[in-house]
Amino acid sequence: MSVFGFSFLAPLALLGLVALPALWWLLRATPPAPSRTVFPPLRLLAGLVSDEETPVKTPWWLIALRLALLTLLILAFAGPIWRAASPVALPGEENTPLLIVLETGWSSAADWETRLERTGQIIAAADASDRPMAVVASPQPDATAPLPGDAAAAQAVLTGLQPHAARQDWAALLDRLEGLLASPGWQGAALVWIGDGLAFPERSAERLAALSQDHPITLLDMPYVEVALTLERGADGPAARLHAVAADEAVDTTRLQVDETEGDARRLVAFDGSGRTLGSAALAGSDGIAQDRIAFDLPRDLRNDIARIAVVPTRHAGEVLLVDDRAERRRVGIVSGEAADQAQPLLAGSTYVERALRPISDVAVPRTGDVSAEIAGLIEEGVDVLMLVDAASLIPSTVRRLEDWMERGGVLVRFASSGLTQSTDGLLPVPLRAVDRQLGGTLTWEEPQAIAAFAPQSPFFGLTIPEDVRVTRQVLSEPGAALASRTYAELADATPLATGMPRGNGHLILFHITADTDWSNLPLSGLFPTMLQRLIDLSVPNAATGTFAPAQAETSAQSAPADLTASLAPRQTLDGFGRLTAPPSHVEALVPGSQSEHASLATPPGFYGPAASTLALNLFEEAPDLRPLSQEQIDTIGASLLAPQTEQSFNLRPTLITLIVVLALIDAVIMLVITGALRGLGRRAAQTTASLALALPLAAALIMALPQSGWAQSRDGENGELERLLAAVNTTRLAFVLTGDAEVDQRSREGMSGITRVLAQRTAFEPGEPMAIDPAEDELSIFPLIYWAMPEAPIAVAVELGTRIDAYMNNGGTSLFDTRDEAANPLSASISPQTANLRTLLAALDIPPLEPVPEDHVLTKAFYLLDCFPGRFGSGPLWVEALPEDGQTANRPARGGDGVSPILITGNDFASAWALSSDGRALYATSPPDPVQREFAYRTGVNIGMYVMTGNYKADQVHVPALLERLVR
Amino acid sequence: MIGGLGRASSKTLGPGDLAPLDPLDLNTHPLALADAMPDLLVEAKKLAASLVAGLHGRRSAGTGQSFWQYRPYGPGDPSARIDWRRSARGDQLFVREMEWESAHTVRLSVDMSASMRFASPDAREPKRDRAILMALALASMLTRSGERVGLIGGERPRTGAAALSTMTRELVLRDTDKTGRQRWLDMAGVRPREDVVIFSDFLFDRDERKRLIDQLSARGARAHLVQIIDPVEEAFPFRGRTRFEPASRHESPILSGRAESWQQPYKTLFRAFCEELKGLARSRGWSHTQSHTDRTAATPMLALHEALARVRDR
Repeated sequence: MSVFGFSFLAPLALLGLVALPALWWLLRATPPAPSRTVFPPLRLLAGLVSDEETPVKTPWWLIALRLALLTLLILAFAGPIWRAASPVALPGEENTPLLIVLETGWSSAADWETRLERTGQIIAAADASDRPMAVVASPQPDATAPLPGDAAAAQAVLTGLQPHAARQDWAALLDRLEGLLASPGWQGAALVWIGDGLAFPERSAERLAALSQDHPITLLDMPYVEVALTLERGADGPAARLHAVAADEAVDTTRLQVDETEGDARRLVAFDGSGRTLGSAALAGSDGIAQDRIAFDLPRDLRNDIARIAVVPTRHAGEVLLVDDRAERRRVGIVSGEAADQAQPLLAGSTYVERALRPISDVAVPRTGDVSAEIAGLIEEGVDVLMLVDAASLIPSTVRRLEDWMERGGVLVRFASSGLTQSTDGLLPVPLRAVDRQLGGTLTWEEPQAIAAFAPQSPFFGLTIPEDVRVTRQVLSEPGAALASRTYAELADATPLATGMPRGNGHLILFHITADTDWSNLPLSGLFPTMLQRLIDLSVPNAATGTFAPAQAETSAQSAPADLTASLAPRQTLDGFGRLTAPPSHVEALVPGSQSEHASLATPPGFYGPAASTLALNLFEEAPDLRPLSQEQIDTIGASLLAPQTEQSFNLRPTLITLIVVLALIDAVIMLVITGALRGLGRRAAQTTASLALALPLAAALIMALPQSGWAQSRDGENGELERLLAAVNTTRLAFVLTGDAEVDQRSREGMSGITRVLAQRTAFEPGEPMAIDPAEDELSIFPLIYWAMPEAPIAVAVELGTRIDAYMNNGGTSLFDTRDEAANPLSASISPQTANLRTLLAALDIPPLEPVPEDHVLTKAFYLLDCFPGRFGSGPLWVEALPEDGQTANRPARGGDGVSPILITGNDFASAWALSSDGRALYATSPPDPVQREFAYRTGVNIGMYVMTGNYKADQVHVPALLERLVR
Repeated sequence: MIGGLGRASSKTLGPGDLAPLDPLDLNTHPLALADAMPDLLVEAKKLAASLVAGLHGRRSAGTGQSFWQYRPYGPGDPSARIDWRRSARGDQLFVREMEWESAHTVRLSVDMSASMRFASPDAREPKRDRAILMALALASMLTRSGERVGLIGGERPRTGAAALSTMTRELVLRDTDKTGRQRWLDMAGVRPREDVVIFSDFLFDRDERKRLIDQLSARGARAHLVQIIDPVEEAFPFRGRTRFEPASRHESPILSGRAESWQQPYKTLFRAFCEELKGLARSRGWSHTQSHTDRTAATPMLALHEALARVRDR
């Protein structure tokens, strides 16, 4: 509804104006409420009444003020908008149908709101001249052929539209239009084309020109996008190439003029997979002109993490690049023949290799102990590089597999071990002598050797060698003609340190030393990672992963079906605005090698495939042809150009609300003066009246202002999370996991609360109230102990949950799992649902070897001396991480290992035994009901609490008497 | 000038018509008298003690109860008056003389009507409480000096502490009993030459007031009018649009558009009203004392006491 250039969002509210005369009468008749007071000498006053006429009528100006206030209020509710809109010149004859074509591709997202508004104006203008109309939007998933309809239907189509991150499919669109305009109902229809301001492709322009013979076309002059990006990979990592839309052919099309101020605001930013900013670069160079290629100066491992490059703030999908790590990160498998090197990782060579490789590649360390199976598994997984540590002899089938793999491009790096000289597998670049050589020992007079400078043909050439690196033991090669060419690194006395040779497309490399520090201190030096880096660079990414290809189907028959591996499900896709979202329903799976590997409406830019091997699809693979719409092309088509309307519509509601508030305040002040309440504020009656008069319009104004205050609430949500974290950090707290089973959770809460009180009473450890946590969401690292009762209902364990808990346990946290089923032997044959749940959970975790708490474990002595660990049940054992067998500590009274066991497993239902009511009574009976058992349950809790807080400190503490005795002597 | 007083409503307001105030109106609804009475008694005794310590004996022989002196028997004395015990100690006959006591009766009357319950924010206490405080203080002083004290319309006047307790009881009863409130105007028991002290705001109907005064002067009593005034009633501090409501339900409220414009006329009216009361009292040789509830009760108490003594001495 539009009156004199005003239009109203809610014109029905204007009906309130009808009530104004009634309000006028009411306001006139009702004087301001008097202040009331009891006055005994009323008879005296009676004589005065006749003296003066009481002014019971409200002064006219007050009525006028209030009427004005109410009128404004009604107008404000009606939502007036001042729009100095001039009539839109529509093409075509009167009463002919109007087809509105709206482009909704990537290039229309930047000014989407304007586009919708302009379309709305066209619809309104067509409605005003009673022309049937329809809206055709492209690209959109549903390509219907609409019939001419009314404005409401067109508007309804409009409201459902979103821009898509896809290029315009010109052929399809023009086919559709031609078909539509040929159909009955659209005879003589005119077209209004709301495009993206870019030039039509030649072929499309011609077809449009043909169309315009019968159907007059009006093009709306729309602003066009400035820039689109394409991805380039170079030695400096993923880089963005900027393609600017050039208005003039003469100007270098790749250069974009950037406004000084805008150049400051808009930057090119690189994000990692979780949306963290890795690097940022200004769009504009020093000359104010945008650089045509922007790379990020980042360390290599960070560069590998780049998942997305975008112009920020992002306006449309063409300003976003998605980067997968196909080309960058090599997958490295580490296979170690050393048994059970878990307890003392620093003595294991694989630790040094893993630490060196972790930052620069994806490392897989199976650690099953079965070398052959591990190698087979890793090759199946498609590793690029294999590191064999301490694996002396390989069985022939494994050797064949490795050779085949190296033929395809795999790089195998072996480290020497004491048994390697007896190796018969033949997977060595040089033949080895039967004995190794020891330097600098008691029985040798040779000094430990330094490393000689690397030869130019060596892959290590150019690396700086630290002076303090010494090799004390090595395996020696038989001298031979090939030795010199195969030596990649040698010691100062020209004996080989590393030898290697190409094998097929791959490489075979041998370090003549071990990967641990027994034979040399090379693994401790900074040279070691750089050397491994060079070796990894030898590999060709993904070259060795041909295993899954359909051609070799016989090797992967037992793995995945071919069609599943061939198509990649969409994981995250870009919408038209360049935001990564969950894929909408029309998005299809991507089939590598097919047409769908190029971005389209059905396969928009985004990430496809599983998280481990994601494929990133970008809008443009090569430089797009971006030119603005030229006058010649308009002439060619035979269309007319409709200039944009520059007038802005202006929402009057905020102004009106301000006026209302001001008027209401004035009115309130007048009320105060009239009733005399300004003088004696104690007069309640006057106050009430005044505050009512003040409150009503203010409340109305506030109600209208409400929608703008939504952000404040979301801020509160963040603060709540922060406060929760602060509460958890300010006091040490025990935590328990919310399982979703209300009863179990209740018991966990009561139990942890109870043991918290017992700890505070009996020990110096006074934890705060325990917190309930969701391990998948909440921060875990702030809790020393997490109690996890197993529910009976089956649980599902996400991979992310497993890694979170692993990280928690690796970083020194302790999880106490309670199956609450008494038979707490997780290895027993009979399975309770809780135990089944525990197994599901533990399967997702990286669990060290476990054992029932041994007699001399520090848990039995952490506070109380205990020989059993009962809860509600008494018989089940408590499982902890197995302590390493160590001869030195065998005669000690207590052993604690090197830290706190990351995992405790029981079936004794601790929480029920610990649960206390508010007045300190136990809530649940023990089984059997035995007060001694409950006391021992508390002691168990106290010992666990002290154990997680103090670690193996108690194990040392038990020696104090002996030490004191020695001191006294 | 005061002629307007009666014209406000056509109905004449009798003291019995006074109804209790709206119980929700806390400003004019003081504590029930029974609750306030212990405090009032203590206050009254303090007040009494701070004033001149009572009336004195006549210091001359008379028909009192207490011994005054022996005097030698003279001709004309009835032989029955000879005090034989004293006379037996000597040769001379003695007559026992008692002290002359003016066994005087003072009747007190406390207005318990609804308008007396009013207290403005500036006042220390409701008018009724002030009236009772002064009545009890006066009774306390009078009984101490041996006067007979009683309430108008109550039991017969008594001496000593009994009088005070009787009064207290009767006041409490009257406060709760609707019909008992009008007894304070029941002048039937008043005898000539008795002192009658009336504590009231005298804001009732003019005719009623006149009848009361006529009744008193017809009975030959010596009246003391104690006018209790709330500060608001004198100063009229209202401003703006104000609705004045009556203390009792029998009057209709009066609305003033600009209360401040009524201040001066009202003050004149109120002054004239006070003058009229004073004139009524003076013309009959009575006393008129004003007690403002925003000021101390001691000053009007002293004036009242002096007035009582003056009347007595005359």
